[in-house]
Amino acid sequence: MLLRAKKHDRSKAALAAATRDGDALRLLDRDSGPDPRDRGGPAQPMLIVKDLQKHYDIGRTALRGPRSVVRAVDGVSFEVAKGETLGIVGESGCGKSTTARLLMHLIEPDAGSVIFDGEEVSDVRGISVRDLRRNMQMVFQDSYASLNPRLTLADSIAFGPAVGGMPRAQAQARALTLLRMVGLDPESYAQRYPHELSGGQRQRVNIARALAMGPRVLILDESVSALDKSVEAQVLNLLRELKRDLGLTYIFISHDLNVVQYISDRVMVMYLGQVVESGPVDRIYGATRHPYTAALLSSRPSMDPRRRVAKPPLSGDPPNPINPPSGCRFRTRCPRAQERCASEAPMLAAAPDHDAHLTACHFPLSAAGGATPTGMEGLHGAAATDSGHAYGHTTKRLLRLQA
Amino acid sequence: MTDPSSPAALVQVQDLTVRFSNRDMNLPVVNGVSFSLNQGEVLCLLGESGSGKSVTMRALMRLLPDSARLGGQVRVDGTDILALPHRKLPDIRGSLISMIFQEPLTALDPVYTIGQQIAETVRRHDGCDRRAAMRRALDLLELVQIPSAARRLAAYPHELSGGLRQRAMIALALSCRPKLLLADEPTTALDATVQIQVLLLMRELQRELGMATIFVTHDLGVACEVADKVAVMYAGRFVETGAIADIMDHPAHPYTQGLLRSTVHGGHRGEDLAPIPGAPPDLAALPPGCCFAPRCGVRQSVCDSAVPALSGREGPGHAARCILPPSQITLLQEHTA
Repeated sequence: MLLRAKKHDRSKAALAAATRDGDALRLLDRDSGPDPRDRGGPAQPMLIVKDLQKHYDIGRTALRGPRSVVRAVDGVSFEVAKGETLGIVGESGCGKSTTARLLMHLIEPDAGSVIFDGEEVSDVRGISVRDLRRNMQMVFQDSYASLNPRLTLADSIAFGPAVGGMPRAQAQARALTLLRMVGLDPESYAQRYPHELSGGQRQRVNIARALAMGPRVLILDESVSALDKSVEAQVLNLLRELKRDLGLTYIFISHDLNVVQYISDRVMVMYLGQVVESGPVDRIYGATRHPYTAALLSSRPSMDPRRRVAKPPLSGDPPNPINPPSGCRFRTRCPRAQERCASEAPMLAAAPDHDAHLTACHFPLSAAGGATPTGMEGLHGAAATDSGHAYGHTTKRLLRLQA
Repeated sequence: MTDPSSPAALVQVQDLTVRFSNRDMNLPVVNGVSFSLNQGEVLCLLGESGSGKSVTMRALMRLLPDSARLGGQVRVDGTDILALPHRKLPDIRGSLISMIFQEPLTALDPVYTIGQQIAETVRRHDGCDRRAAMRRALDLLELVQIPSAARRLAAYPHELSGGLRQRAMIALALSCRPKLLLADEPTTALDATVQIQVLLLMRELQRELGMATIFVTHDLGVACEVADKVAVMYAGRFVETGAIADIMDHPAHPYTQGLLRSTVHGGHRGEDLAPIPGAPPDLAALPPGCCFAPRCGVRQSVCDSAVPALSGREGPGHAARCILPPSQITLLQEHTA
């Protein structure tokens, strides 16, 4: 009891310190000119990822059969500009979380390179993995599993900075500042334990902890997926606010297409370990070119009981990433597949009318038709009711309600 | 919603309460839920985690731990469920009422094949021989549109993909022609392209077989796809009930309105969302008045004195547990905005 009281006093002192200097975090004042940590200049992408690859050898599945390889991430390349939010969507097993872990070097890639602000990771002249992780932090889906149950919230948040050599009192003061930033009153929350919090509050703590190292990039791996809708909206607002105040860059991974559309500037769609389409959010949702993206979009429930989805856009489950189909991996479920798709893997190529809109498809949908192009009607039926336009029928109705 | 006392309804629930109590806790989880459901109707229980929607549904099947104290009345096809002795419960589970769970991998038995599990259930209730039961299992797998059904009969649950596993689970639930099907977030764990397939399958089967269905979900989109009627739950009570179209078009309770408003869609891009402030109430210390009042934007002083009754709104069966009519809520919201 005495110990606890002492701890409380200490936290009070730290709180006073935090409010005194007000700026334990070296919070970037957005008006004070360029970020001192910015080395490559504004035109240099924050991240360049080239041909990232991770295969898992799972041995023989049959006694004398061939060795099986899970191609979790198979030649993924993309860039993230400074200050933007890249959304990554795809179904389970498409490699979106593996990609995130490879970026953080939580697992070692088999091949490929990651260039952070112009410096190649773990290169002799580049940036070390240790420094990369200071600059890039991650928030996971399971808010409870990612916090140490035996540490108070303040200790959890201060852990990283303290290990990094920051004096204890200063680390504690930073933790309190961060708690306030994510909307939790430090007076009442700093000395609590994770089990005392609701899911939304815990996820706020995880965000605070990720920010404690003063990162420039946050990877949000399904960070709002486990939350209730009303809480999800609260956390999304917080993320937008933090991005604005701290000049962060986000990589936002989710299976929820509506959330990705809301928060992302650019979107990347993955299927079985490969990128099938990427581009600005309006192009992906409004002028879809890949049949898989179109199917994903029209798989969303209609949100209108009078215009229900009549026919599922795809049949069957995603195939196993062990020994995926030859050529285009989507061809086994694709309504437009032809012979060429089996023999030749399509490369990412720019749309004729938009340089930044890349699609890996031999027979892309025409841009004019959006998600309901010719040749797809039979497949979609009434399914495509609200996917064809960025502002569909439902959206209009919800907007009216919100007006 | 039809009058709960109407004798024609298949399911009649009157003032159902569930409280979990033992030596160190006493938690009212369901606080007086009444509804009725006719053959062939689909009711969606909509609510966030902890609102009591799953517990309400499990109470209909008495699928709750011993610490649960049930009150009120539940009649399904004339059977008084809450009065049944324990040894009679296996007779109704699976045949009169059956259930589809969220996680088929944990709900199915890992050491028996799909065929064996379905056949066992069929034999328990219909008393037919092994061969006839297996034949019925095959029919059921075909009914739920599992490709190469004969081969899948001999498959173990872990050998199937998520979508097929959920289909197998649906086949198992339908094996003894239940009159009431309960589905607890059956598509939440599935990928988007598979979720819509399973939803449409369930809608089709429900229409063909004509059973009453109660569907628990937290997803408004899912409710729009399958429901005839919706009951929005908050802190163990229905706060709004009505036809799905009425609720989507004219939500009458501030909580329902808040849920609709905080649902993310592309039209929001670049603007802040309007979440419901605060968090759901602690069930152990519910306020005496309206449970939503502490988070409500149009709270009045009378809201704290007593729980408002479900009162009728525009549209058949549309009712909300709020003292203010919708027009006045809009007016007050505009005033504060």
